[in-house]
Amino acid sequence: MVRAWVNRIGGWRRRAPRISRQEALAAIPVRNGQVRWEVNGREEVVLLIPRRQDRLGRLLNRIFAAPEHRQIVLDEIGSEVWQLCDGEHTVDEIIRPLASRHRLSRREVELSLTLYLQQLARRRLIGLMVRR
Amino acid sequence: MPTLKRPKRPTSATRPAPTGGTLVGWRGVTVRVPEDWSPVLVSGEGPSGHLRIASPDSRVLEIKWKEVRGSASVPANLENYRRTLERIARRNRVELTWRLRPKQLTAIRPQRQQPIPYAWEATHRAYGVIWHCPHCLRMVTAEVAGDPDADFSVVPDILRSISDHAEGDWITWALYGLEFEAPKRFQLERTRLKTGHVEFQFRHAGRILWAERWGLARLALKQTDLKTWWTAQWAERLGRYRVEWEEAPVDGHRGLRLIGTERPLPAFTRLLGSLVALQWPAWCLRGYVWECPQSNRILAVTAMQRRGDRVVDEIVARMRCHRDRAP
Repeated sequence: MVRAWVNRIGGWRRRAPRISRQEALAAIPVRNGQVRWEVNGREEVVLLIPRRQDRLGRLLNRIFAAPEHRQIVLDEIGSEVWQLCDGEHTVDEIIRPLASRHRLSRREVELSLTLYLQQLARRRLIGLMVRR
Repeated sequence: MPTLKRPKRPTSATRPAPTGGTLVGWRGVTVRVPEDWSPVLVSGEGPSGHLRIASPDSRVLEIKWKEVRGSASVPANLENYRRTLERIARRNRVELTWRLRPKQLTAIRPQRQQPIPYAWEATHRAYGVIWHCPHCLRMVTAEVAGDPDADFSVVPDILRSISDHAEGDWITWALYGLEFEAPKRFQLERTRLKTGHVEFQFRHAGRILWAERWGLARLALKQTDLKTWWTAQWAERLGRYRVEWEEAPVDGHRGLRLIGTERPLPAFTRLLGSLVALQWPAWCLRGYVWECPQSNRILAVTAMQRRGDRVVDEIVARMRCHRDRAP
């Protein structure tokens, strides 16, 4: 709590590294190895995210009899993106097939995909490998 | 004695403007750019405006225009621009090289516009042209800038395709796959440029006109039909109207025509408002909504209008929702 306030004031704040648009497009999204995933009958990707296993997490899991994994079902386009986040495709290489398959303009895909990847990264489901 | 005339070599200005690529149209200015270039900035009100279109790499096309009445000097405007660039270069301690009339851009615009092509290089390289249109009185600067090693071979085609004013009574609007013509008398009131949804709203003498397009039509209509989907999108606006639907194919696509009449209470409030503005109220709603599978889009043109107005039908008849239709 205190740390959060200090961060907000700016004292120990760790700034996110700034990358240019070109670097962002050349970045390679990599899935988190801890997250298991499968494709369901409706061709949607289901992510199985393990619950926290520290002392508090274990205690809470026991009290609430929570399952071992949390599930997130991605929609059709989200599933496509997830499958392309294989550590081989760059962001730019993900944009191109999405734009042509869904007949979207490149700019539209770029904006939505960037936001989507940011969300995935914030939830620690993927990481971004940036070449410098 | 008959003489043989050598055929005149076509110059850039006499060559027809390119027709491929993506059309971008904003406030009467239209330009054709390569397929993967997208508008990133549109602005302007009244006599001036600005349009920026970016390529996937570093190249950016900027078109700025300003209405200049009275005597307009193209060289003086170019000189101002050059001085501004030099000032910026000095501030950033970079060397600026400036060239007038580069070979690549000879005869790029019609002579009556007194065009002056130019090029400059500092940390970036740019090719541009400045001209004054005697018809619309706009002083236009169009420039493609990018990294020095970028491919600038598309620049002449892009600059040649720029049209600085609309011919006739119709203005072409084209952004992110929504391409239509609206009557000049309708003034743009609002735009919504969101990913997946593009909307233009115009107004003229109490009438309101909306042109919209949504992307990912196949996904949107996967579990619902067009009427239900569109009614949900327009729930707020449709509440005021008693609406009737008809099947009406548009350009060979399955589509719907809606005809609505305002409910008594909203109609009465509108009548009071109209009396203040001394305008006859627009009580009717008329529109078309259709799905274009070729472009995977849903398009809609709707107007709040007076009984008997045909503007929506005319716009839809002129509209092009996908490519393979003959121009």
